[in-house]
Amino acid sequence: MTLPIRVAIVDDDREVRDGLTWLFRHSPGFKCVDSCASAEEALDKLPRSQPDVVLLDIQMPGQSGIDCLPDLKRRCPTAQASILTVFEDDDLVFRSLVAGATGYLLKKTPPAGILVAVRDLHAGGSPMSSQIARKLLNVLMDQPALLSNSIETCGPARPGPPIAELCPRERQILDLLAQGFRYKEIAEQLGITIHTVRTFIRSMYEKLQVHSRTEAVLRVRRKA
Amino acid sequence: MHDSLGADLTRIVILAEVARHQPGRAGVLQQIERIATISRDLVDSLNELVWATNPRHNTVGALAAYLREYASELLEPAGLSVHFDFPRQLPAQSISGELRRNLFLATKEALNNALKHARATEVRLAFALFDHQVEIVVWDNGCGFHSQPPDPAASHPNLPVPAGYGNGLRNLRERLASAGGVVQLASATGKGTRVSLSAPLVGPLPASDTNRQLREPPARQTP
Repeated sequence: MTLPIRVAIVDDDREVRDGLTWLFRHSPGFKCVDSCASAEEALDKLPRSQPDVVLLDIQMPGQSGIDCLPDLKRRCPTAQASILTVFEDDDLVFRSLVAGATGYLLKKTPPAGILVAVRDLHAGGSPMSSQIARKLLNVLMDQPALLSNSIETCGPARPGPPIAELCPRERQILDLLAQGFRYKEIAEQLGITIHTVRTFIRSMYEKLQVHSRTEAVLRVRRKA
Repeated sequence: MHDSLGADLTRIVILAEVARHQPGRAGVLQQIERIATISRDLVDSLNELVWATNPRHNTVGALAAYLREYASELLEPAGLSVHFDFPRQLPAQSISGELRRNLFLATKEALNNALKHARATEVRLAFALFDHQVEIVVWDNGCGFHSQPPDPAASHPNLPVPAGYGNGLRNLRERLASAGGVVQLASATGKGTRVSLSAPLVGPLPASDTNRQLREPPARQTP
């Protein structure tokens, strides 16, 4: 038997928190290890419980979910963080991805969908809608250095400079996502498996985060 | 504003979800399930409104991608197969928020008709752009309408349409007319339905120009 996925919920709304806690408690294969009402509480408690997946609300009194992400990822390095949001606001979602989230979950998602999404995230998948893909493409257009024609840049992100680049395959997948293609269609079109599509998307997220960290380092160095 | 609306709706979704899993009378549980569904639909509508009113999405490409995604998400879970006929590359052309919203809502209506009334198993969605004109076609292999000639004249507003489709169709025509566009409907019993929505990318003329023909092409300046 496989170990249950250990989930933590961070949301200032008690009803949402209790509802989700209830859901994970009553679903086989999941375990709710913590439920926190603020980013500060999460930064304090989660390093002890070391959850596999953290569901993080964005707007909370005190530090926002997005702002606490880099710290949270440092203190819980094996946790996958997913932003919990009411709307698919591409700006907020994008900012969370850059800050270290590898997924985002819409709060209205029915329980079965939430469980699938958490399981996916834990298994290495990341969701990307056409809106987010278009946003990512726009960011890349402004920074052509991120686009590479070399196949060697495919695969997991490398930490630190030289800055992460998207390989042609990732770029292809991003283009199709931006046109509203589903993972299944992309897999068929490119002759790869859905699993491979998901792996590429996850690696794009990781590169995006590496890139933003590198940029932050450069900014700090310039200031010094 | 929409943030707090959305947060409250989300609370209802989650409370109803927890409540319907508690022991209780069947009738009550059924009603709670309705509440859960309705509030989720409301969050969806609000989400669509947020997308429709954000000027950042005012491009033909963003509209096409959203429609494609919407159709897959609506029809695939219901077991229908969806095929797309979209251009490989869309020019980076801008589209007014008004037209984008109307085309989205009209396409949504047509797709939902295929899902809810037509008993279709297959839907095709086509998107084309030519001569500054957008055309979206929704075709389904469902039951179709009787008393409806399968020709373009079917777009005539006075032709009878079956119960269940009437209101939706009126909505479609009004939406497209307000954008200076037209709806064409072709259907026959057992032969499916084809709904074509087309509208000029350059919207209807301003209200001050109501005397001029809406469908008149823009005047060209001679050198």
